[in-house]
Amino acid sequence: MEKKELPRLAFFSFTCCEGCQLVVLSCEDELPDILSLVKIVNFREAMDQKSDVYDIAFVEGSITKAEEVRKLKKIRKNARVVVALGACSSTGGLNCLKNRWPMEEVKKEVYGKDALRSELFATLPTRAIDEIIQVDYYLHGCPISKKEFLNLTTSLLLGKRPDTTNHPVCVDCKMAGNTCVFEKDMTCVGPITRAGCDAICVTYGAICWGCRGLVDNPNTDAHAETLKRHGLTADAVMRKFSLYGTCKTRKC
Amino acid sequence: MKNIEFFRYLPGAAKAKSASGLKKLVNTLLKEHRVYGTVKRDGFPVYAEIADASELELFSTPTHLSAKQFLFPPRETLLRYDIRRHLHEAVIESERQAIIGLHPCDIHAIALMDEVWAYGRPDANYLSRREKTLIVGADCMPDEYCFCKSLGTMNVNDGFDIFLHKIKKGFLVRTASDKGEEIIAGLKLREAKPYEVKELEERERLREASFKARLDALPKDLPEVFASSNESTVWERIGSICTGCGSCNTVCPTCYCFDIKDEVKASLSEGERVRVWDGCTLEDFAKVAGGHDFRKTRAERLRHRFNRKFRYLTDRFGMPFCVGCGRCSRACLVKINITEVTNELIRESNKRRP
Amino acid sequence: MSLSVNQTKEGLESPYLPFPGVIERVTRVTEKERLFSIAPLNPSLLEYGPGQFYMVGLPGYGEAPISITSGPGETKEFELCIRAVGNVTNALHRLKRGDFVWLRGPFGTSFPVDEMRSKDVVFIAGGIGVVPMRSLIKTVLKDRQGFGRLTLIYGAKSPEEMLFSEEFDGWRGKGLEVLLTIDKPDTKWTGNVGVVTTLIPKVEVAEGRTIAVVIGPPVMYKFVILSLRDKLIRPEDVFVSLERRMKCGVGKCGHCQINGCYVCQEGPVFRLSDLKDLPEAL
Repeated sequence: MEKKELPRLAFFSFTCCEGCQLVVLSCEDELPDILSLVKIVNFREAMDQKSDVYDIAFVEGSITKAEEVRKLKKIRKNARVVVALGACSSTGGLNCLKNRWPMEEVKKEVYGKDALRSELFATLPTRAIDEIIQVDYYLHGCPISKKEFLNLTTSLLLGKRPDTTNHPVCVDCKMAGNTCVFEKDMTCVGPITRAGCDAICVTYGAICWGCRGLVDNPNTDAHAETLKRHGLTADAVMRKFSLYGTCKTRKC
Repeated sequence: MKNIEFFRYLPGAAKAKSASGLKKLVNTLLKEHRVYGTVKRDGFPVYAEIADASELELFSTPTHLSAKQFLFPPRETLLRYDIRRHLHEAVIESERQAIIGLHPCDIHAIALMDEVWAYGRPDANYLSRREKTLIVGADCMPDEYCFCKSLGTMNVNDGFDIFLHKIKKGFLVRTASDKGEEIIAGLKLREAKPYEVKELEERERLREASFKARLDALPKDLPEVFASSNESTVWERIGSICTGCGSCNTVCPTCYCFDIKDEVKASLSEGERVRVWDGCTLEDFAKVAGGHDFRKTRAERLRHRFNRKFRYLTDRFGMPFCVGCGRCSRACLVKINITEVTNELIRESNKRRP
Repeated sequence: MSLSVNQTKEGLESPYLPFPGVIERVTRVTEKERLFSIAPLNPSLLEYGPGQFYMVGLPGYGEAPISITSGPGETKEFELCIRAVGNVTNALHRLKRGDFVWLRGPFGTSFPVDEMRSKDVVFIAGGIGVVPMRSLIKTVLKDRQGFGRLTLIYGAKSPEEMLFSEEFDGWRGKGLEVLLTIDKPDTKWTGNVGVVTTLIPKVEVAEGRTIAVVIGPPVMYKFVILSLRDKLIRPEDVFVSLERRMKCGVGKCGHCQINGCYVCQEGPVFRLSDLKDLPEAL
């Protein structure tokens, strides 16, 4: 039997913490099986080899520099399939907070006044990668869900479109048996945030911060009213929605 | 409350303390069942597994989540398969279990679920689990959302094995099955004294008078109300504030829609077909592969849910498919209240009648 | 070797366990559609009526409801015409002769063929609706003498998307009038242009003696039904086949509901007059 060419996977990092790629590496039980079915040709966090020849590109990180735009476009050209890995690349993630101020002010704040005069600190407003290239699939979350990564990878290897979750975190939360945080005098953005995370944050005693982005057809107005009813000012509501969502709510 | 001839007395408090009757009952059950019951978590009553009798606490107010997870789990394997070896194997997992603390509404809900899962093509997974389940009910007091009184589900005379009625110094116990009778007989309880039964009757009278939420029509008139409310503006109004969070579906003890997914392991050979809870109020529920959406708006989806509860199944069961537990109203963050919405439709319907 | 292992608990078997069938033949019909001939290992799966469907699946991909397109009385194989639109159907398109598919069914209601006897029947098919219609046509043509005038109105988007065109002459030979129409003609098309409603006026209808059968995409029904009303065909004499999202096929998961009715159990074949109680239907 002739050996079929194994699909080549490549991982890329733009402006990110590489935490999503770390989640991939933490799939210790499944990696042996996966590695017998694919060839990983580029993965900065895990190995030295690099390659420009690959089929599936997992891209982590937001775009904040001109050279990243160039590199991203090259990845799109090389890859058959591009997967946005994590919140930073899918929706812009936390990196979008920067966009609430002019870039010059941000530069000054972080690097000092002298930075304004240097080209070393060139920075663009944060963008999700789909604002520059066509993205085939998204793995949402900060960080991604191990289960979703494995599901996506096995789906691609089976030649099928991966399942996507389009219902709010509330479903996952109730399925996990959690008491709603609103009953406990806390507030969260679960009702308009895309589930698929099994509501892990609430299950462990915290709230949902919306790291996985909005569902496809969110009723943000209605949820803003809910938050106000629970004591948040309009400004506080705006800030809650903006934590992970600035890039998608403000066009930069 | 119907006249019950035979009560026995079980001493002890609602929270099982040392040597109390409730503790004896729980320990008896623990010998042969996995026991689930109400416990306090974060200050709220929830259902959880009980490994020791001291963990159980009976509450008079409803839990936020129903107990349907013990008969219809949020996630359940239906099949296991081996792709390379072309094998499929049905999976029906069930074990002896007891659920303690179900209020009458929840016991009615289980009776309704029993019917729908057995109807047509019987679902072996649910029915097998149900067969192995022992139900220990407990009485309750209504909160501001409960409206079981309006639906006739306030009391229950069958569909349980053992039922515990709280009185000051203990419980009065009823049984409605051979299994329940066997267990209670083993505890060698004395008969209830007349003053104890009187105390219970007094408590029941107080309970009946304590309802705040109610429906302004009889259960038998509800199907007609909903049949004529298809074009009501109420649906648009609640549809516009609904966030599609699905909480009403997930907390409801009679909602049982599910999705089916195939999950394949990294080996690409072993896998499972599982079912997971789904909800008719969720965005993608009625979308087909070609792209068409048969219930595109939130208004239509909410209208569907209300009709499921008060109209669609009433022909078959002779009663609404809602048991008046009020959980959906409590869980709804945008404050869509099932009795308020229904009463508004009743008012509109009354205006329409000549 | 048993490929489908069932469990019996409390005397019940799982309704979700599929049974294997072997693909005997695959024919490419159009760019998006393939015709499969499938031999189920269990012959009881061949007891179907026109209008019914199977839940057809592959482990790892899931199941999809597929209408049966072959005629009655098959002893070894049945036919499915499958359009590749999602995960399951795309995976099915990658199969070849000798591969397994996994089946549950047949499910659903079938067309009441006996009610059509001695009457004229107008079959109105839009697009992929011709797939289940073919099963009914074959059933009726098998006993041609038992029926009156038979007319098929079939509309497709383009000539390339027309299904089973090589069978039309055979049907005509058996006494079925075949009227075709295309939305977007190519330069070679010389026939009618427009949607199926443009051909309905051309059909001679004997009042009270005509049955109409309508199968097509959701958007088609409203317009066809108005045209049928103009032809004075009563709603009691009109049958439709309605699609909905199906997951379990056994009336439990809730996805296929039209108002209070589970399409996988009480449909997909419906009498039009019954649909007045189901406002979500059309």
